[in-house]
Amino acid sequence: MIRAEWTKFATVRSLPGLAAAAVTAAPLVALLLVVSLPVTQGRAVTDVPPAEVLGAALLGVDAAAIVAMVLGASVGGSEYATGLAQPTFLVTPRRGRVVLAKAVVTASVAAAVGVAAAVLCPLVAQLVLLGAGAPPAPVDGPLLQLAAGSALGPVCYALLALAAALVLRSTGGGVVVALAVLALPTVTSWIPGLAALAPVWPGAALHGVSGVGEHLGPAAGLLSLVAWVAVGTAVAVWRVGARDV
Amino acid sequence: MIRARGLTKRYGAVLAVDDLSFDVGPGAVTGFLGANGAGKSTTMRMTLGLDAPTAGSVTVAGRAYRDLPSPVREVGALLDPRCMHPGRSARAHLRWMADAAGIRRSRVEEVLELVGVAHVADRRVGTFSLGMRQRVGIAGALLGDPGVLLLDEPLNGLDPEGIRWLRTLLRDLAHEGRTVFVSSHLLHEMEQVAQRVVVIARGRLVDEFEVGRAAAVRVRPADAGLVAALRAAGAEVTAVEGGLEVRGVPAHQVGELALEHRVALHELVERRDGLEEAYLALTRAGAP
Repeated sequence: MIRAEWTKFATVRSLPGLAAAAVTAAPLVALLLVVSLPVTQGRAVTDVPPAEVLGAALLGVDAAAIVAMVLGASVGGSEYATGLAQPTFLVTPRRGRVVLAKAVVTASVAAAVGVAAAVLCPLVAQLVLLGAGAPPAPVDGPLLQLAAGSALGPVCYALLALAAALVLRSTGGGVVVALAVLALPTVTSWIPGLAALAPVWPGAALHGVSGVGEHLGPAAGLLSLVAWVAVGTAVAVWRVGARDV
Repeated sequence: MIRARGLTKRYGAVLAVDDLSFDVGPGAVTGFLGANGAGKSTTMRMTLGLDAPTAGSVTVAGRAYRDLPSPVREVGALLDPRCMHPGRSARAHLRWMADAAGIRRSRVEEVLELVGVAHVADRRVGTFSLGMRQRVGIAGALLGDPGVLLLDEPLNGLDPEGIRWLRTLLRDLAHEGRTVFVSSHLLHEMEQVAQRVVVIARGRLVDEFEVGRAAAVRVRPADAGLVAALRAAGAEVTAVEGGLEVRGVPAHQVGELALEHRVALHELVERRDGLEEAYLALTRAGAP
């Protein structure tokens, strides 16, 4: 079943193309963030602590996460957009297995994207530091934890986008829901009553796993991420199984 | 074997399929006839577990489709041939199906060859004509070498050569003992390929019958002795203007009986009622 979904992923141009775009976007955004540090922080790159430079560069992984969202949403939404859902569920009437196989393929691709982005982004920062004549940042525990936590971002958002696209039967809908989950923490932090929701969002959980959490520690963060993905996938399994194709 | 019992599907206020019961047996091509919107596709979608019936049940190969342990190996289906990813090649489309069903990939090459699209198998299906997509869809239906086939309007978009090819294929599949259930609104095509038809109108069963059962023999004159002899031979005889209409006995036997009873025949014509006439008569009868 997973092999079938993998074959589907690999035999259209758009999906591997999106994965490649995600890997490309991350270091480009990282470069942009690092080079623009003098503007955003009012200090030369050489005056910023190297660890902060790398931290800024790792925000490039967020760009990969947004492309991974589109990828996850496409894996689900294209079934309905092209009518492919019909042969898919004819071949596999136990539809939950299809949803889970799609989740495994999406998570694998997004994890590869996340790891590649989390390696490339700090590399870009180190090269910029070297180019500016500054000493490179030490590759230490906190940096590795930050990189590892960042790499989970594409996986989490791609899976949420996949689940939303399957529930809404639309690629666009999947992207919008995943973007909303990404952006809502900022919105709710402005509204006094809703600020208490801050620790709930996947963003807070990712910060927790990365070791820079304001609200959650790494273990609680990981638990929260698993819960988000599990609930999203469970809703998708339920809706896809219950409705007429 | 397909068995529907009290099958009903309601979409809001619309009753698409209404208390439909029928059987489709093996070893024959069974046509599923009805006008567009009569409920043929909805019936097939329920049979294949895509849509859930509002009431009633339908089984294929003895079980509800969703409960079949290996559906592709038991039931082959072609519904809408446009339901493929346009960016994927025909070969890749069949490969993911084979992967999902646990069928060896060499079988993909066999069915590509069988339906005559092997030479364009690496082209994206988005560039295919409807007829070519029908062939790819039929290849998908045959992938698991199933004993039951359900094809929804498979003749749509096929060129005359393709129609002839599919007719032969369906007949061969039935001769191999498979259950072949083919929907169409093209009556003359069904007449040429189906041995049995199930006719529906407005979601309700109108009739099911053997194709050609309506064959009748017209005889003149209406001789009383001949009528008695024909009835004794098991024929159904009705008087029509200037003669007789005889059913249930072939024309040559009518002639032999006439000779035995020394009746000089003025007319002996076998009239095969077209399926179309039978179909129109039936759907008229089914109208409110």
